Amino acid sequence: METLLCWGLGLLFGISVYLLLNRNLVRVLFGITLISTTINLLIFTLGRLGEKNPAFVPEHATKAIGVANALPQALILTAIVIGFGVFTFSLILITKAWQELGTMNVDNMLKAEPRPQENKPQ
Amino acid sequence: MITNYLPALPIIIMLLASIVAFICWHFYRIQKLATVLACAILLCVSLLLLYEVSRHQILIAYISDWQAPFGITLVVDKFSAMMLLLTAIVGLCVAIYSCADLNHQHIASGFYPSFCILLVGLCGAFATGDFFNLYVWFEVTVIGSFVLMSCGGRKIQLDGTVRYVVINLLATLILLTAIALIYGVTGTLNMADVARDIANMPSNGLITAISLLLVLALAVKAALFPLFFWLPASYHTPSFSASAIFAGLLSKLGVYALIRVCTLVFAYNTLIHNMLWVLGLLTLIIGILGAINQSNLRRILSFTLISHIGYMIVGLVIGTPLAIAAAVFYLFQHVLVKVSLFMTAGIIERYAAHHRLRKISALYRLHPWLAILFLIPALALAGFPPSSGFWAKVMLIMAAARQNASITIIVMLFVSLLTLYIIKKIWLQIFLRDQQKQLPKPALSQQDKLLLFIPTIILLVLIVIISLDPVLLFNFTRMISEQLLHPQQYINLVLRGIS
Repeated sequence: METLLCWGLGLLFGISVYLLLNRNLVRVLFGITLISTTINLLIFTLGRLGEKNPAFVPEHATKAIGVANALPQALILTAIVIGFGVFTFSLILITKAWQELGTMNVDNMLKAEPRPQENKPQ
Repeated sequence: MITNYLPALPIIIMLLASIVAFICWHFYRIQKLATVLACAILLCVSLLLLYEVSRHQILIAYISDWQAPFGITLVVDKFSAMMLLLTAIVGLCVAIYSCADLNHQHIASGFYPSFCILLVGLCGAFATGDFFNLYVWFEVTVIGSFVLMSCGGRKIQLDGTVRYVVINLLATLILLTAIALIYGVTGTLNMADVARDIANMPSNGLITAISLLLVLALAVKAALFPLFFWLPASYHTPSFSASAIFAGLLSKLGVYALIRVCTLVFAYNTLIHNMLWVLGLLTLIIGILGAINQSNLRRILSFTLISHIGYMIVGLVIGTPLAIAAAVFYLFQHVLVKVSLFMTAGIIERYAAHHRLRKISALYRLHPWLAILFLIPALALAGFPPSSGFWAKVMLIMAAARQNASITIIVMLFVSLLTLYIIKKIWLQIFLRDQQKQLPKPALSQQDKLLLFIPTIILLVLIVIISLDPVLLFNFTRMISEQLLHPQQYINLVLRGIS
């Protein structure tokens, strides 16, 4: 199961890097979303799979046997919430940039760093 | 009881301030007042922390009383206390400066709440002793800085923000990947526990890969050589207050985390060590070469910022007690110098009503005070004796000379010389060149002038004090480097509950 997940994770990382290298900002945004989901799965896998029981420990127990690791779940939950917020902000930013600058292609965004010939005095 | 939670206090103060600023969304005066007040309290608290740290070495707060490797631990050692003090000083100065610098549109799009959130993130990142918590604070900082970068909404800002957002999101995600792998290998997230586990493990390929991922993410944040192109593309676009706080604290967050990780967790990794050495030298050269051909004042300052990050990295990789002390000394004075330069650049643009060097002239004749305000930090940047930058560079060169690192010394001196050349260029261009032209009278009220000049002068006075009496700061940085180079004390104190 873990081997299968690892191969899947590798594939997902590959796809997200491919998307991130694109010049179209929408694809870059999808790449960021996909890579953050992939990392969440990575955390889940690294927390070791196999045990299935929820982490309810009886009152006087000193050892919890057969209990799933609860920490990765907490970490993933935090990462998902942060990811949501950041995704929303980026989506709005890119929409706004598209409205104002009229392009989604990073190569055509030349406001902040104009090409040298546009610098010369008229 | 309250002293147990002292390390959490800076975070709480700024969080409260941001909540107040959010609630008073339409009341600009209250927002300004709350921010300035919170920064002033933050300054007092960080001084108190500094005092406590000098008595007890390390302050530790176990959140909700969870013992060390299980809960979130906040750890303030001398280095963290110094960074918190810097955050407070810069935060206060920029908060005062911003009262006159910002227009209504900036404040209406939420400058002050996000400013406070940015400081929350910085305080948290400097105080935390837990890797996942570090990631969370990085995200908080990044979100705050996104809003600061974009508020105002000019076209050039949107362009700069897009570049900044994409690269910084990616960097934090790489950081998260590295942290996930650390958790997978060691089964813990507490920095002290991770450091102990990794020191006991045989060095293998996986550990090297993890450390490379971690350094990659932090190098993007610190703007090291092949990864810095987002910084000059975006730092000249937002308001001057925003770019001052970015230049002062945000890029230093990466440097802080690099120093922390390289001294605590991956202390003896030769691959990382050699790689950072080469990258540090290349950052020094390429950064300063980028600055030569620029025509925008803030872009020149951005490139010199990148270049001078290289000095701190070189100090870190030389790794002797003197070198680490020099790097930390450099860090301290460089923050003050850079913030004061960015603030002065803002005042210059207000007076000259233009940002291209070609269009500004004769400022020395018209505003001699402004010239002094620019010249002193600029000379400190270049390392002109007896400025604070000079002492930092002397220490670095002495440390490098003891290790017989001749190429490093040559590069450091060469970059220093080029920095001086760039300052000479700015000086001749905008201060001395006299085109017999009366500048437009700036529309600045008396109150605005006070608000713009007072924080800049405070920073200037601090720089002059460090320049004239570097011994006090030097002794403190020596203590910091002692503490950083003996991580066993840190580990033992944090994990005293279980070992």
